Amino acid sequence: MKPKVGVFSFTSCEGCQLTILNLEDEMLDLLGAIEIVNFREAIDERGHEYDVAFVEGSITTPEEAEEVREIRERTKILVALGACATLGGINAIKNRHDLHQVRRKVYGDGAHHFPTEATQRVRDVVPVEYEMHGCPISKREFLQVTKTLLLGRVPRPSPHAVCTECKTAGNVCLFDKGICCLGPITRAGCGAICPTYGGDCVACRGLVDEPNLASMIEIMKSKGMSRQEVEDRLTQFNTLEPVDLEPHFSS
Amino acid sequence: MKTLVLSKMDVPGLVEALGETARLIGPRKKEHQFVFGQITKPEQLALEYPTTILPPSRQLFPNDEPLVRLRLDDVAASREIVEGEKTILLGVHPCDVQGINILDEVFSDSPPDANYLTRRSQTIIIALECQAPCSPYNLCFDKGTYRLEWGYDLLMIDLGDRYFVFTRTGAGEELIGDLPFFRAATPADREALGRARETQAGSFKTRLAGPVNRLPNALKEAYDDLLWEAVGRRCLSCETCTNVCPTCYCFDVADEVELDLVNGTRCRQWDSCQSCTFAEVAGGENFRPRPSERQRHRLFKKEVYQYEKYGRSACVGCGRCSAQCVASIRLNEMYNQVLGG
Repeated sequence: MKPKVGVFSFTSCEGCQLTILNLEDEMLDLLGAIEIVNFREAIDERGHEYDVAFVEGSITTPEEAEEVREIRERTKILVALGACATLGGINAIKNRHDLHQVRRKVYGDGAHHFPTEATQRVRDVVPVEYEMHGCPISKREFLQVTKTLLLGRVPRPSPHAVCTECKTAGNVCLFDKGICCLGPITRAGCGAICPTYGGDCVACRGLVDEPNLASMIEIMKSKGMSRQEVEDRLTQFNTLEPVDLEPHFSS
Repeated sequence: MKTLVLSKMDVPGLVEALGETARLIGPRKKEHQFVFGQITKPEQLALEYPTTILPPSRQLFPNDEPLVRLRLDDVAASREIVEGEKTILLGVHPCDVQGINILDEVFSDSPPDANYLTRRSQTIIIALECQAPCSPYNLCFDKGTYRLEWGYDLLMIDLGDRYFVFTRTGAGEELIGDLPFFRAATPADREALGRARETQAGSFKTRLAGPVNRLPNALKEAYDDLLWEAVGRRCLSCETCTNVCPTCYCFDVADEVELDLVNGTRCRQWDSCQSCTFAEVAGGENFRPRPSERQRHRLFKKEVYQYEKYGRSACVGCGRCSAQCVASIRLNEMYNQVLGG
């Protein structure tokens, strides 16, 4: 019997689900290996028990927290999918502000109807077997992780920084073009897709296991970035990873 | 050894002729820098280049190289993959030729690496001497790697409107044997070569504060130096220094299966002693958990361990690690600190 797989979505743009649907060349083989029983973007039917649940999005309301706990109870393996689910991502930027003001700004006078809470990663609410990073996730990594899970093995995240994949691709370093890039401290796995096309890495996959933030901040400063600019860059996807800028900017 | 002359006007013709006999790899412009890549049209070739992002030795040791075609249902039916095709590396600078020579030695050592050696045995190297250092970080004068004695098939030296060409191997002579672009060197060409070499010798200068052969002992004496702590505080462990090194050869091996969960491929990926998990072993023990220890290891590997094993330094002084380090960690500065400069 093929393993039953569900794909679920919380607060997010649903781009990671779309990335799965974009696996056009591999979709038939994928459907030969798994049975998708819940996938709002793709099918109507709903299953109730899962071997693997892929959960996209961060948890920002009490209902979402309740729902992800229910999914956890019904699945053997839970994989958090994409930056919103693994890091809090863009959604967590609101955590840097007063949440009442945030609600008023977004919903106006109707704010009391929307009980939005501080953004949480999926793992802040339920135990997670694997986190697949990225905004959006990489197709290649989704397939690798899925196949590894189907074999009953534990997926191995890349131990490298984005710089390694960027060098492997033979790219001109963005620092050599005067652009500050977070590639040196960001988890690899994306194939350095942004720097390859000329965009700086924004750390959407989170930071490497042992980031040397002190050195990175000094480098950003030496490129003329202000405290606010450094903070904005480091927290764009990673608000929930606290960074102490005080020692670097106190005069 | 033959001494020949190639007019620069004939380079496009030569590129086309060589491209018909083999996969031709040479320096190409990429934005404002250069990379080694396949040359399919003469205008892609950029022989007047300072250096490349990755060294040409990486062409012989590609990332993500398949090693074994796997059968998970029948392991005995798995088959090794050893690939190679006739390749010409054109315009390789002397430091990079010596980088390849060092990899030849490492990969020939027991157990020999069939993948590297098969590719290498089908590769012809046309070297190109540099007329001046390409960056403030080169150590090629101190390392004696700005000129070549051996390790190439053909060697080109820029004489302005033409190249002076030495043949070193039978394979090199055979490659250009029937081509109409080369003529025998005349006394006037030799005189021009002498002048070019004089100018060249004047433009390369020592950058080290002490003799290069003192490096192994100087590093050993500096094992507990505070230098490593200072470097470790800056190092981002991004692995760029090792990925761009012409003589780094460490790799990791990983299997990937297809969706049928039966067929798969075992590939090797470049690895780096600068990664925080590189020296981690079963049980979670890590022999070099700190960036300071990993940077020290990098220099010891090049100047002490490989020197003791193969009788020569594994740093060819190309300067890539220093030039491309985002954290401005400079090999020449570290060497000078241990040499007491």
